Amino acid sequence: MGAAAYFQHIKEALATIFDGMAVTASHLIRKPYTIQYPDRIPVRVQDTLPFRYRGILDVDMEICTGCLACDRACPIDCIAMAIEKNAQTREIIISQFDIDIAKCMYCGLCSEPCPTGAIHHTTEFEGADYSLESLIRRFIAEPVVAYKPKKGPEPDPDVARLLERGMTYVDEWAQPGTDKPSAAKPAAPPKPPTAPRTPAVARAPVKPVAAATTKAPAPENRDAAENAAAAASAEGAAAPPAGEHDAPKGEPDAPKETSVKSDDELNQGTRASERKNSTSS
Amino acid sequence: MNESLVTLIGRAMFAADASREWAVAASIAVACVLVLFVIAVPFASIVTWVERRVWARIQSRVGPNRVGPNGFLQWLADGIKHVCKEDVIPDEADAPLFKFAPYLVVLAFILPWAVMPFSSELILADLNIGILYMTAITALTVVGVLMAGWSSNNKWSLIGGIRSAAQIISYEIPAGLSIFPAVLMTGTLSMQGLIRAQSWEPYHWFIFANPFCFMAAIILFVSSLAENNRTPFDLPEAESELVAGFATEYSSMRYLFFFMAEWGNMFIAAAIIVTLYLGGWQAPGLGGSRILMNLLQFISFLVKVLVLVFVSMWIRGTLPRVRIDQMMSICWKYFVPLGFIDMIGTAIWVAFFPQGSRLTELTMFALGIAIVAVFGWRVAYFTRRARMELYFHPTI
Amino acid sequence: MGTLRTEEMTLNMGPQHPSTHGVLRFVIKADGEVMREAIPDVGYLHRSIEKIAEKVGYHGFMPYTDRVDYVCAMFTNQGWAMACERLAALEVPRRGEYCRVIAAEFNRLASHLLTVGLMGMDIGAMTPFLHTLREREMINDLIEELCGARLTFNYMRIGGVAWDLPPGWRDKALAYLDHLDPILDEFNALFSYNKICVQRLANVAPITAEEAIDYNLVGPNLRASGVKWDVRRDMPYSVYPDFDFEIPIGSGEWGTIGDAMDRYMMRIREMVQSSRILRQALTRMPEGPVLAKVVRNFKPPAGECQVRVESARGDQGWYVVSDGSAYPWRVHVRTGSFAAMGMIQKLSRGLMIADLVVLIASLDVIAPEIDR
Repeated sequence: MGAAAYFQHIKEALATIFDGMAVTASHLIRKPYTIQYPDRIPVRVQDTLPFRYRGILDVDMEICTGCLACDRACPIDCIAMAIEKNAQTREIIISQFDIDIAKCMYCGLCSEPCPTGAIHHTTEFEGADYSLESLIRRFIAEPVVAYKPKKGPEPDPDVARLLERGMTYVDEWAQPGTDKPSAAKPAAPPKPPTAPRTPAVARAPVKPVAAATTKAPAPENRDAAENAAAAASAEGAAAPPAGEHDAPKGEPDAPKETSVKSDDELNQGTRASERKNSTSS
Repeated sequence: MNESLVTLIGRAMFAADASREWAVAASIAVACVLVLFVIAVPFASIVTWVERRVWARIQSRVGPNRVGPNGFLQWLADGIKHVCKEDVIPDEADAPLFKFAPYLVVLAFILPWAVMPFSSELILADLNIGILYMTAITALTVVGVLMAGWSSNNKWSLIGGIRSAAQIISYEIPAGLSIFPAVLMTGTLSMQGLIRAQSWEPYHWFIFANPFCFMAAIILFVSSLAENNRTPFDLPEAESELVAGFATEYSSMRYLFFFMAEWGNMFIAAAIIVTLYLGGWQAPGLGGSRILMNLLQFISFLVKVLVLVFVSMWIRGTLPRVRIDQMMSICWKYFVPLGFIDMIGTAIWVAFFPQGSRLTELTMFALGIAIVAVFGWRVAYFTRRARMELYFHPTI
Repeated sequence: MGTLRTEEMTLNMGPQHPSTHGVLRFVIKADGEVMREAIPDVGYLHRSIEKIAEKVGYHGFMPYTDRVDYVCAMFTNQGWAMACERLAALEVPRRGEYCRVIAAEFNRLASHLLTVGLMGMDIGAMTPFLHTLREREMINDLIEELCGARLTFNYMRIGGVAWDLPPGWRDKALAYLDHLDPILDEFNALFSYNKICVQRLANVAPITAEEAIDYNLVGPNLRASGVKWDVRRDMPYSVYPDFDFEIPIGSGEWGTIGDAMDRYMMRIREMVQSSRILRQALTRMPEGPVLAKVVRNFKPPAGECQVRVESARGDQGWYVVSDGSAYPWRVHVRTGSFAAMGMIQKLSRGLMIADLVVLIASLDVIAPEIDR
């Protein structure tokens, strides 16, 4: 090693260490980034999490239609449901709805196909408990009648509130469509989410005798006698989950093709409810 | 004033009988206990709290802040926890050596406090070979660490112990060489003598006396980092490679002994540098009472030592660690030649300027201030640039 | 007669170790500090994910792909989605592709931040690790707002993505990118250009281009050896042809081409390029749907397909064989970390034990990707 390289090493070492120490000194005088959960924060962390946060599952049984879409979609079989079809009153009775949140992997595949948003992820994440049995959440104490979405607005105000929340949740998911050229429309200005959801307006009425296009896999805990009828009703209820949820309002259509979007336009809400869906058919 | 702590305590406790043998023995005992249990051990414990807080702020986090006000009693909680732990001695380990090793290391930490100059009168024993005594005793750590590594019967501990032995022995040489410039300038090895040759104005400190002393002070600082197994030389306890190096098999209080010794040694190493190059306890003489003067000098000494300890912690939070062969290369290829140059250069300097050179002192002092100013500017640059603190889901 | 008999030590750098990236085991045959050989032992994190695919079907497998490499889960999501789409000849809407690219590039940023931080921690500097984790937390917050999860995203679906960008997200993402650039400079000043870091990383385990190709290295490891191969450029997929970005390759300016420093700097440079891609994607997003119509009972026609995505760890290959039913016949993932493990034994000859840690960190091996 020549003399020049020797002194070069010393110089580099001193310079870089000097710089490094300056960086750490600057951190000494900056504020730390720590949030001192759980006791030295002004608001609960759960209240600051985003709406889409996939925390512990919750089911609003008041609006559960008993369609078993969540049971079928779960890849880890943590949802156990038992439904039966009352032959006389054509009602669906749900007698068991258990979710094992110890098995649940919080993937969201169950809440995606739910037609009313009954099963949804909350922002709750503190589920630690002392026994494994407490991690099986049982949502049914006594058998209940499944919810039937009404043709008009939901009359019961409590159920309507739950339904509104559920439909807002369901609205967050992407609506399937295709990328045809005619679909290129400018984004609609954001609508304030004040209008209560009336999904029944745009939805096809749920009939228990809808033509079963695909066979439903038989869930566990079901009476064999009610299989066929229950399957048909389940299919019918599951048929329009991907339907449009925004009622066509009088939106002024500005069909201009702009390639350069303003900041406002780009930054708008892009929820399904705020976009013109080209595939509304 | 050739008073020492022992005579002070003797006079305070025994008044007229102070010179009797038994009184002297008793006052020595009391003085030792005082120094150790009021300064040494509390320092070694409280510095863990300081280190964790400083380290945490460097890393954008908070550090322990629950136990006691601002987490001040964390060290007490840690100590109690370690005492309550089970003392595991591996079956195949060499039990006598295993048990004795921490005590050797702690011995190397405790003995230098006998010559620690807290002020012009508060020193246990002003040996006239003070600095040599300190350097010699701190080398006892090698024996303890080697013993620990070997007796653990664990190959990783062995590697850690051998690395540490090589490191400490190697860095004794630059450390010893860097003591010489200050000794050459005063002609004495005694701690108080070295300090009395400097005065309280910063430009009279030996670090600014000539460029060789400046370089020697820096080499001494880095070598003392290496001797204490501090980053960037903490290979023996490289947490990401060897878990805890030579101390892997130790648990509970034996483990804490090693680390108490390490943190305590930080103070001792800083004290050596402060004594030799930074003016020791020299403080402006305000002409007050004797007690006030001693207090002022004590505070001056403590502040300087704590600043150096802080720098040592700060470096720990900044730099990665060097590899064993790079560490050897730094020692033998860079520090030892530079140490020799320092020594010879200072000798020639003292021959030419027996009374020191005022001009050089002021120039070096201005250089020191300039370095600190550039550093401050750089810190401001970094703070300004990356200033935005983004909190997307604020709860604070 | 007269020669000193020495033995070589056999050490076990066990599955529980602070610096193997995940659960890896090395049997090290060492002569003091210098290693003769380090034999890797994998399989501690094997979870039969490829077999699970045959049980849960196409849609249900998406959350499992997150676990194949949980540090950069968007790429595995994308690989699986692309494989299924190719089998069924589906086309993803353009806005969906843009969402995919944005999510993937953010994930690349997050993964590289973790890697460079881990390199810091492995060689003893704890501070850079915490700084990069802090930045990664911000990316996690962004993605949490986008898809609801911070690590195992399950963001993409067959045919597109599951959620569109929420309102205001684009501005937050751009603000983050503006925030990140000076932080990267500061990080380089603190760690990458530090003399001690350079000395630890330069000239450690250089891999020549021929060796890299022979041993199947991919991604930043391959590019560090001078081979200009990036799946986004050479076998373009999604909407990457729309973006203007460079492919950094190793230049050996700190030591030799293909040494650990080059591999490390690759990741720093790729972070800068990801930032570029993200800015372009965020400002040029088209309108439209983000998900194509896919039936719930997805049954692609019988056949096989192979898809490659450029994940943070390199060229990740997804091979799916379908037999026409609702469950795949066979799924296989070929990951960059698995190939890198094969090279460690050869590279470790003559290195010191401290260098082994640097080698593993520079190759950026992640245990879940090796074992699946």
